[in-house]
Amino acid sequence: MMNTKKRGKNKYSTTIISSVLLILFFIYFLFFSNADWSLFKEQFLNFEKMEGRYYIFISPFFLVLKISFFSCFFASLIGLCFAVIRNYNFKILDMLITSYVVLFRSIPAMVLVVLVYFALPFVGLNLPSTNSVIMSLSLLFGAYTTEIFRSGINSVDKLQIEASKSLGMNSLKTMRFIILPQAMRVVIPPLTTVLIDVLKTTSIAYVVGVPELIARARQMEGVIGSVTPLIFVSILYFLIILPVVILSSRLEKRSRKWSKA
Amino acid sequence: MTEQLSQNEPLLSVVDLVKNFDDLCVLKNITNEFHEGEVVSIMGPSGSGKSTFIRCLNHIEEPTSGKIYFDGIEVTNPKTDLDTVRRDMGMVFQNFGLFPHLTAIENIMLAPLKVKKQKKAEARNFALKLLERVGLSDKADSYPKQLSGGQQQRVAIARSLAMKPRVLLFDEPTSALDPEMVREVLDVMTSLAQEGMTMIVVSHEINFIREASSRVLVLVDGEVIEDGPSKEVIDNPSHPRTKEFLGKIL
Ligand SMILES: Nc1ncnc2c1ncn2[C@@H]1O[C@H](COP(=O)(O)OP(=O)(O)OP(=O)(O)O)[C@@H](O)[C@H]1O
Ligand SMILES: [Mg+2]
Repeated sequence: MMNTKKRGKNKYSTTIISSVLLILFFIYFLFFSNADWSLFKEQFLNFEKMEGRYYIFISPFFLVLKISFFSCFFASLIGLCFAVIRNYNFKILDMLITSYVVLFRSIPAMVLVVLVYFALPFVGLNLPSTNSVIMSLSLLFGAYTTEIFRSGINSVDKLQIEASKSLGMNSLKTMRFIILPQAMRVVIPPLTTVLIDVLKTTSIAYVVGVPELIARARQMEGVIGSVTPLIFVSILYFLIILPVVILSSRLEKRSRKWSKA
Repeated sequence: MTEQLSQNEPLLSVVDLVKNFDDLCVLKNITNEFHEGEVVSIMGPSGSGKSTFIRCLNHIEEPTSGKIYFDGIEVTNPKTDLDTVRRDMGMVFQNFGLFPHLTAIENIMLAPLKVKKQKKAEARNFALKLLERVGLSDKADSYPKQLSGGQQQRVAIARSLAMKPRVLLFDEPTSALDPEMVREVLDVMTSLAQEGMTMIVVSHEINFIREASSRVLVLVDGEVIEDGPSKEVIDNPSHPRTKEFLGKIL
């Protein structure tokens, strides 16, 4: 217990030190380099020009939040379910899931979004643009999460499964109470990376006319003649990503309590 | 007492058990009976099939052919619900197999809670009693990685006892332990044996076998070459392979 606490603290201080270094570096850059700061500020940090326009981002912000949340949720769910199914080695399902993974890992996001939105109506499936983006991102990133969950499940020692079975636990309970909790330790870091990728890829929604943040920022950029809206939107993205990062490090910390490494 | 029970139906019986791994024949037609209250030790050289045999008993390893009956139920029948059978057969592994993400007491409570659907307070009380009996009351909230090998193995024994099994299977429970920890585990096993727990133990701990077990099977190349009362087999083995083998470990 002592050990874990100490290590947690160390990690915390590393974050603080690196942030301070980063800030010092910026201050140094701001004051001691002879760059033309007034021009830089006008181009990139011209928040005066944005005054009275922030409201434009309110509904896109919540839209991106919604797309992000559901895409992450379904992408994780697909990965979890498919990885669990693959664990049981049903031949045909294995083949189907493997082809899904191979296929969807190689489709560019933009192509899939366009296909889902414009091509599915021909087979009778009319999805609103937001939902078609959610579906595309879920399928696309579900291919990655499938592999992540699968390697997590495979990382659990066979003895764990035997011990669980010998107690009379059926395979579903073994999965739920023994394998998955242990797999999470391996799954969380790469899953976090993928989920952050999902969040950033939501900007692709503009191709089917979803009024999301980046598209709005670029419009405003043209109107006010400054890149500032893009900078502002980046901050909004950071706010959306932050909870994922926090949740992930929480979960990781929890597994450090019991894991050997 | 053992004598009297032996005349009843056996708790566990094995009929013509065969196990092949591909071309390799690991168990060759083993037939045996285990009665309630018996403590049977299984000895034999490495690779003779001891682990395979004991793992077939609770069907963690699937036999190639032959039948296994437990308490009148045919374990080897594909229609038998193995999960139900396994509730009554505890198993203790060489490498403990504790669940690393659960504390000692959570390890013990898991199956009673999830399989037997016991109330949490009830499961907890019994788990605390079991921890006390294996001498680890102070370790209830420790994770496995915080325990020594001997302590982990005692928690593992407590965990299988939590299901109130009718038989306990041990596969070399002390051979992964440092010598100074072997004693504490054997003490727990000996006291279980004295209380009448039915046990089948793969072990080469001669003192334990002499003191606690009533019968010894010697397994060589997938065949039981000797089956008799512990003292007799150890002090006076009849088969030359047994003599040779005992000579190596004594
Ligand atoms: N899953 C498996 N696949 C193939 N062969 C196996 C498998 N498990 C065991 N064997 C082989 O079966 C034989 C018996 O193995 P087993 O583990 O039962 O022996 P053992 O008597 O327990 O040996 P030890 O004393 O070393 O534990 C060995 O030759 C082993 O290589
Ligand atoms: Mg073995």
